[in-house]
Amino acid sequence: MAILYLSAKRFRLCVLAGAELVFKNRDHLNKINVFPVPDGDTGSNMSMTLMAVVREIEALQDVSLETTVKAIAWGALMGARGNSGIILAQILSGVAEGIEGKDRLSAEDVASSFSRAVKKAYKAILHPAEGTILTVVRETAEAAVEAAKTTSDLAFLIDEMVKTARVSVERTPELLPKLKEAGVVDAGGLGFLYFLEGMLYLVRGVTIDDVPIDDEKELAYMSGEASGHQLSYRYCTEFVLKGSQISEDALKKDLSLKGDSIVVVGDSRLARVHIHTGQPQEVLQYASALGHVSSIKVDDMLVQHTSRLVSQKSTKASSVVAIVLGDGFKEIFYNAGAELVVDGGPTQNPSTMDIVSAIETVESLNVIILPNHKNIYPSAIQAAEMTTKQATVLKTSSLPEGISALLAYMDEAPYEENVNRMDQASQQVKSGEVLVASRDVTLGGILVKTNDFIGTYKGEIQCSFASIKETLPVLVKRMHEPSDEIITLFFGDTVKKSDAETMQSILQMSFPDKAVELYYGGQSHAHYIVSVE
Amino acid sequence: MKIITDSTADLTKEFILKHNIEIVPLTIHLGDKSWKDYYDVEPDGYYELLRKSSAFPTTSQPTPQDFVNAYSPFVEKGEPILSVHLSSKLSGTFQSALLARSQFAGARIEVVDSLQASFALSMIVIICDEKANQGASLEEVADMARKIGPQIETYFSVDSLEYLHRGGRIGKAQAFLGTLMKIKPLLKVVNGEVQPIEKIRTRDRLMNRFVELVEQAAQEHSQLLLTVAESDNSDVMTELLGRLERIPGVSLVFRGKIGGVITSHTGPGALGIAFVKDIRQ
Repeated sequence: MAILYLSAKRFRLCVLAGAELVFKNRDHLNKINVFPVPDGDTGSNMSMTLMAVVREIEALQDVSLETTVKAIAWGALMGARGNSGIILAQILSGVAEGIEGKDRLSAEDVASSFSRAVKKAYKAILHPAEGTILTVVRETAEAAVEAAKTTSDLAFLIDEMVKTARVSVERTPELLPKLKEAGVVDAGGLGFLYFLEGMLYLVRGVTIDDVPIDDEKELAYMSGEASGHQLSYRYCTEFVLKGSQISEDALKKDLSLKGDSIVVVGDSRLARVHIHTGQPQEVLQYASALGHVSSIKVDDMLVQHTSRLVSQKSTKASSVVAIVLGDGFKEIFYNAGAELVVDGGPTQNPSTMDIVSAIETVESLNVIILPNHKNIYPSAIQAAEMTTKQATVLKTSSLPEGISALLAYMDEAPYEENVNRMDQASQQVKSGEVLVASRDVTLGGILVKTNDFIGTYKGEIQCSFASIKETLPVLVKRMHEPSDEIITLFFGDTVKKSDAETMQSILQMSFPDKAVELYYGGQSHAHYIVSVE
Repeated sequence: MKIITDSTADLTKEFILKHNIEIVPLTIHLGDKSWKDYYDVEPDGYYELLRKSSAFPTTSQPTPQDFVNAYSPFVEKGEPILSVHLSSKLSGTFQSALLARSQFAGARIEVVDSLQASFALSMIVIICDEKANQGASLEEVADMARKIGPQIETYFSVDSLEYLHRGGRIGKAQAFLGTLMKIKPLLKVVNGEVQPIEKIRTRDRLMNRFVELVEQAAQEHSQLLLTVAESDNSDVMTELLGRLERIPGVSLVFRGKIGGVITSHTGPGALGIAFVKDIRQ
């Protein structure tokens, strides 16, 4: 039987079924994640992104297509995590935009809105790479547009899309040598294929009116981590806590029982807190037991997007928000003039909402954002689009680039001037990392054994040895040019200070005409981050 | 007309003798010893002293009596005096000179607060000297000195803010002092005070910034007068000057060394440039 239209109900079910299949395959997606870095989180990131969508859909009272697509778009953007998650979120929100104002969907609606959404996704990525989820969604969109010309049957259309997506996923290793070397397909692309397959499964197997809306509930709790999220954390709550002995970790731990998207920044005497919760009252009561609570802001996120007000007058020409991982780096960023630092980096992507909150919290109406990692750039771009403030995202793709940009920031300079100066400054430093390999793999023609150290620069593995002592000097040799003056070493949270000092002397001996500086970075994903300028 | 300045103008001995300029010295204290700036210790000698010393230097302004002694011979001869000095925001030298003038009722003495120091103060002295030689009156030269002081753009870099901070010669520096990363701060003299303006990491970028600042001004004014000086950083200054002198419209009027008193507040390694629209034509 041909399906000519999708109603609001059925569209929701499709999305939920798609999400379910991704949740089920989360671990598999994590396992095959090797690009852009083998950090094993694609499945988790895509699941968390879709989880946010599911939560928004569930919270809906009204089941019209309009509210449904808005909830999907909102949930996806707020919950977007990781590169693939961001792209998926872009596509879902793009599709939602394209079908706004309709009360049911035809095959042509789906194809054309999907195609537009893909174009938008391409724009959101700092360095779009082929052989990734981007290729898969683009080819799928092309197939959808073609199929919609010959059929009005949605089941046929989605079937065509799934077929194309599958071929496209299988082809990813041909386009991306890193995948071929590792013997896997692209995890993000495969995740997207699961999502489509879930939709197809539903469209084929179930008649619209037979599905009670309550059944959707099960979908949200398929994955283990989802079980804690029975409440809808729709209130974005922020406040400043003044006390005498505030423990950031204890605060985060206690708050995590009451909500998610928790951001706590500050020191033992002053903390800025951001949380998404179902019970803002409880959170504030808890906080007032610890100290003096002020600057309280509670927003209902479902209505926040359109009704957010920026009321306070600001005298500051610009404020800087930086996304930073590692307590040493956080201190460096605060000292160099960042107004607010949001936790986040390669192993921990902040949600778009975390960044939006930070933008809204800082003093100036003109905000400069330093994402400091290319996975975070798209979330930062989305946050910049969503805020009512003027916000510019600089393309800093490493922490040293962020520091370089921040040092160029001038308190009293006009906003535009700061943007230009900081952008230029960020390009004046090269940065690399030394980290441990988590699996045997051949990358860039270099054989890497588990627990060997790898030196990366410009997104490529430059060298690999059994010890850091061998890896670091070779990496720096690859990075440095004769005109460089300073080598800066930032050691991670697992590295002993005395070992780091030894590495500093080794580098100083290898590069006698350069200044070698050592700082504590506190990052967890890499033993050393090194910059050359 | 006699031009009297103080030792922080960092003028060279050759220049002083050739142009018949009188210098009143400030005093440097290091450990339990004291030196009269330039009279007892030249810049190069002082850099050496500073390198060897573990103590932190301090400085003191000339007494009013020092200025009375400097003015007396010229007052007796009936020669008008232009007395132009280190920024009153950085030192009490100008105050001492004002007090000294009040001892000479009826004498023609103009005391000018340059709102500048070192190589920028020397720029004012040089321009005043030319103007006086062209036959301008004391009042005309003094007016010009007061007008040109605030027009001169003065930038300098230091190896660290420690000296400026410990000597209390820096405003609004908190953001710079808190920086954990090693930086070469770029500073500007604004209304006679020192303000840090940029945090720069490498020597190369610092040089580019100096060049950029002069290029911008040269484009705006077409003819620029330039003075430069450095403390214990001669090779770098030579390199920088090579680039600055190639900028069209730029005329170097003086290259000096930052003397003992100013070096006591900047620390060794400072590089400075001052420039102003050429007002001589």
